[in-house]
Amino acid sequence: MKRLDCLKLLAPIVDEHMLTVTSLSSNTAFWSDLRREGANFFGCNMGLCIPFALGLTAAFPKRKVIALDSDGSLMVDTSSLITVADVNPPNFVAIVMDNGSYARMGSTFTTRKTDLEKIAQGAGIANTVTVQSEEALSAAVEHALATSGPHFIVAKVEPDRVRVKGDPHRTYGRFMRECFVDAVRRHPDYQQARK
Amino acid sequence: MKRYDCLKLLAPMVDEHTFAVTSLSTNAPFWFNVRPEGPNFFALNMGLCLPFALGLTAAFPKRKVISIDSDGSLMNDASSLITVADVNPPNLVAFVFDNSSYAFMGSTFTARRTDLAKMAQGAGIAKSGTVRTLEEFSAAAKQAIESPGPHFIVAKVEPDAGRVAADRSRTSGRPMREWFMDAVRRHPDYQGRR
Repeated sequence: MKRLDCLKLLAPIVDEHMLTVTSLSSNTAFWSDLRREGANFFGCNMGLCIPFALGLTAAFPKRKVIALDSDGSLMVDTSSLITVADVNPPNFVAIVMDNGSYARMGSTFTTRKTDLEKIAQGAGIANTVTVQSEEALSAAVEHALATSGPHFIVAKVEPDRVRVKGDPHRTYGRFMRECFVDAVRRHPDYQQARK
Repeated sequence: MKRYDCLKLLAPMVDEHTFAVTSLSTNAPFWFNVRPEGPNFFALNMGLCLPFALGLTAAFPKRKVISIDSDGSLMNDASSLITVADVNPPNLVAFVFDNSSYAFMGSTFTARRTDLAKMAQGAGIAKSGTVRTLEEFSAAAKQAIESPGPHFIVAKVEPDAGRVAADRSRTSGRPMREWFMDAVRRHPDYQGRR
């Protein structure tokens, strides 16, 4: 299973008012190309994707928040799963693209023994699944978006090194953040802070 | 089950050349009282107990290294379990005293849904389990010290705020580190400059 094919499946299922957060590198470049509009925060640094999404679930309790994380990133802060389980946000959906390696760096493995789904279960997240095929991923994501969570989905993907050229303005730095904040301000659920 | 009773059982099983590393707060003074001599490193800050012990397993591959951690501390860096599983050191014995609270701060819970032994299994530590009585603790500790690991033992203890007095110059700061370095230099397996 390839990461790009997974994200292509995902893009039409995500509605315009859902919020998405991506980890660095491949997820950012792929997702920015597939979902050009809406509230997207791209390129969270290692370990920060799930915690950032968790914060958004509290700010937008009526909308699904989707964290598009990867195994290397999640392993920087596995403890965040404990916080997710404890807060138990029903609108939280984490999809971890697990290629078993830091593929960007010429394929060094992340870990040889770890089962991220089992770690998430141990942390206390009840709705977890590992998928190996596009059909299974599609079904898992549709289920996660239709039902109460938190949901934790591990998608086993190949460590391919395919690159798409993401627009760096839209996926990085101040301009990306401005686009995100702008989308948040235009979001129907946004409640302006009282001065 | 009380933490101090567990540590009193553990101390006689640990020989003079075994390394021990403890987390902050309760574990440090308790362990100092039951095992004042030998290579002990006391009171590592939150999240650092297990990683420090992992480093010692590489430096002293023929000796058991005992990590005496607590749930709040381990949850600061649960990712260290992944590194332990991947390095797979046969001489590591990790205890986690889990009172499900930051008892030192007047009992605020650490996590209400988390099963640390299951997280360790997920990380890839096969010999991982939870004990709830002194008999179970004693049996698990004995087995872990005598057989190749890594072992991960979660001991469910009461959130008592029992305190024992300990010499702070032996359990914290520079003097503690000097004691530890001194014990390391005198260790029969030590290969460095004496």
